[in-house]
Order: sequence, then structure tokens, then C-alpha cells
Amino acid sequence: MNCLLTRELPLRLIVRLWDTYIAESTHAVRDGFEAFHVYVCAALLDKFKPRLLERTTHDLLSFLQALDKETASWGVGEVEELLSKAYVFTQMFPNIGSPLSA
Amino acid sequence: MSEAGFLSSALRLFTGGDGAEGESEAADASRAPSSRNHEDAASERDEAEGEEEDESGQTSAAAQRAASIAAGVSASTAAAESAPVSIRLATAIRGSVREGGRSWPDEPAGAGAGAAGAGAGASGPTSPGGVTVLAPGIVTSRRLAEFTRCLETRNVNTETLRRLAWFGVPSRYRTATWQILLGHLPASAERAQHSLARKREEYESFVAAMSGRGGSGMGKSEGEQRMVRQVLVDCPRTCPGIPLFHTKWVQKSLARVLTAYASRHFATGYVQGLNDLACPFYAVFLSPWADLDSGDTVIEAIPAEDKADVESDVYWCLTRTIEGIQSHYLNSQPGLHSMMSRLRELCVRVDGESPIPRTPRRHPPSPPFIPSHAPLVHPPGRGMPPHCSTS
Repeated sequence: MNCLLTRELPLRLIVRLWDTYIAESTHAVRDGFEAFHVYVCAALLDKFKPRLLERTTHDLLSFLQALDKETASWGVGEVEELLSKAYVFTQMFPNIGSPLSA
Repeated sequence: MSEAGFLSSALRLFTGGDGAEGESEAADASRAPSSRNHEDAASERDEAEGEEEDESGQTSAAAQRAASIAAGVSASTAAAESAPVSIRLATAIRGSVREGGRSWPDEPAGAGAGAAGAGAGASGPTSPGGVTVLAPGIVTSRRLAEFTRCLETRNVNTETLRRLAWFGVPSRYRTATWQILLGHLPASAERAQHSLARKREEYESFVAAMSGRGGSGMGKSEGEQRMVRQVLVDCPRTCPGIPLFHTKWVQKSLARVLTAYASRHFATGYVQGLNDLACPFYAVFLSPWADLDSGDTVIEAIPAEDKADVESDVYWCLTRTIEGIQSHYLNSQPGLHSMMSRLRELCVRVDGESPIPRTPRRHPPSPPFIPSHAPLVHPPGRGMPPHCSTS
């Protein structure tokens, strides 16, 4: 998460993700990039939710740290799905993203 | 719209502007093959632009420009008058022409016979040729035309560009789009050349300062030496599976960029993870010449000037990006904690709204499935936990 998901998604898809991140960052204040990132992380977790819920705490960690294996076969479609879901979250739950509101 | 026609016509708009920069070789090369095409190209551009709504006279201005070129007005005069975008975009497109017409994999007419290494358009992990392509943006000719219209103007409207970019940027325009939206490349073509040249000089002075203080570590403080060592350890670990990042030039360039960044930003210094953040920039800014699978041969064929420009751009764009999230990298990581707590809150809310039925689980649903001690983040700096992958 700290590396803006560069370790969770393959590079060829990060580039597409960053198209939207960069568009976001010029839109809101400087923390736009970061605010939207929170929603994208939530969307990512939501996507894996059923599998995460099956696991014990210890397995959870290994699973999350090996997310890149899950996403290695993804295409642009999955990333755009993530972005859409993240956007929906921003509409359903506004103001969580901004650090100023925390 | 044929790609060759588009490229040569677009190129004619730019080469006059950078002819003065001593790039006459490229200008000549581009004029020769395109001379029989530009009339076709001009009319094709008119058509493409005519399809869209006229926005504040841009369409007619562009059509006039294209028409004047077709009429044989010297390219340098026309381009100097209208110099639509900066040298950086010119470089991107010029690079594509030099490579024998690199076909951007996401363009409708562009897959064609496939330039060396470009591969056919694919949204899966690898293209048929085994080349790993960067994920395309939206591929319709209409969107491509929208980007063209937005970018090929004297003053780019960043708000329009932002709205377009949200849905994905065509590979051809990613370099210019990212650089404009990050505030590195001025939206105004007039300021662009000077500003980029100045920034490149500034970056090179940072690098000179670093190595001037004894490249081998003499004269550097202990902190600096530690930082340099850490950078040199992290660079080879960056993007392990991707050949582009293990070419000699990219490795050295990455090391220079990271040490220059660290030496200019004392508050954060160098933090593990910065090397990963630089990767997308290299991938995109080198894309006119190289793919993720490219090796040393391809990289060495890129002109030194272009590589130096890429390096400077990576440095400045990286700096801009980190500015927004800098609080993550300070020692106590206040930004990171804040982000985690926001993520937690969001997950709780999402759970409440989730349509997934509450089936019996081994663990209670809240707090959500992020154990508070878990390094969902990869802790920067001071050593990674042994079980973390270093990818």
C-alpha cells in the first residue's frame, strides 16, 4: 500500500492505474492522489473478500503479501473494474478519503 | 485514419519547432518519406476532427494548419507559428518514427505489420510475440482523436486533459499527459522548451554535486554513504522479472535519480519503495523506444540526449508524486497511519453495505480483516521482514 500498489499489481497494469491516480491528483487538493488510493485499496480488498474471509490471520498476511501472484494474470478489465468500484465508494462514502477529515 | 499518415503529419507540425535545437537530422528523415502523404494526412485529420464537435475554434485552427502544410508552406514557419506542444511530445513521436514506425499496441489502425518488438495489441499479460506490453488506455479512434485535439494546441487545457486521462490514456500520449498533469511539462508550448531545459540542467547539477563529493564515498557524510549503499542494494532488486529494469543504463540511471532525490530531500532521505515508485515513469517515458522486454541493445540504441531527458523527467515527476504523499515516508509515518485508519473505516462501512450474505466465519467481521499489527504496507527503510517478497 505504501508503494501505491506497485508491489501488488504487475507493472503493465500499474501504468493504467496511475493514469487515473494522476488525473485524481490534479483534481482535488494535493492529497487527491492519496485519498483516492484509500478507496482503491478498499476496492482491492473487497475483490478478494470471500477468499480473505476464509483464511486465518496468519494466512491472511501471506495471502496479501503474495497478491502479485493473483494479479499476474489480470488484464486492463480488472483494473478498470477496481477503479470503477473505487469511484462508487467515493460516492457512497465521501470524505473518508481525505486526511483532513480523519 | 492511417497511422503513417497521422504520424508524418503530426511530425511535420513539430519538427520545425525543434529544428533549431539541432534535430535537423530527424526533421529531414521525417520530411522525405512523408512528402507524398501529407495531403492525404491533412485531409484525414480534417475528417477526424470534423467528426467531433467544434470546440472554441480549435478544429478550424488545426485544419488551417494542416492545410497550410499541405500547400507546401515551409514546415518550420508553420510549426514555429503554431508550435503546438513541447519538444518532449515531439521526442515521443519522433522516437516512434525513428524506430521504423513503432506501432502503439492500443491503437485501432496501429497494430499493422508490427514494428520490431512492438507486438500486436493485447490486453492480456503478453502479446503473441512474447513482448510484455503496457496496458493500453481506451482504444477507440474517437478517444485518440480527443487526446490529439487536447494535446496538439498551443495551450493545453489541463482540466480537459484530466477528465480524459481518468479513463485511461492511449500509450502514445501517456508521456505527455503524465508530464503535463504532474505539472512537470508546462501546458503552454511557449514555456515548455525553456522550462524543460532548465529543469534538466538543474537535475544534472544535483547529480554532479553528488558525485563531485567523491563518487566513491570520500567526503560524504556517514549518512550519505549509508544512503548510497542502500540505493545500490535496492536497484538490482527493482522489478525483478522485467528485463528493461535490468539493462545497464536503467540501473545506473535509477541509482542516480534516487541518490539525487535523497540528497535533495533531507526530511525523508532515501526510503525503500522509492525505487518501485520510479518504475512506472521509466516504463512510460522510455516507451517510444523500448518495451518492458527490451534489453541492453535496444537501450543503447537510444540517443544519449533522449536518455538524459528521460532521466531528468523521471526525477522531476518522481519528486512531484512524492510531494503528495510525503508524510508516508517520514520517520513516524504519520501519513501512513492516517491512511490505514481511513482504510479501516472505509472497510467497516463497505462491510455494512455489502450484499454478500453473512455466512458463519471463523473470525468476527469487525474490526475488518486487517489485523492492526499487520504490515499490509511494506515498511520502508530499516530492513524488510524476512518473509516479505522483495518484488
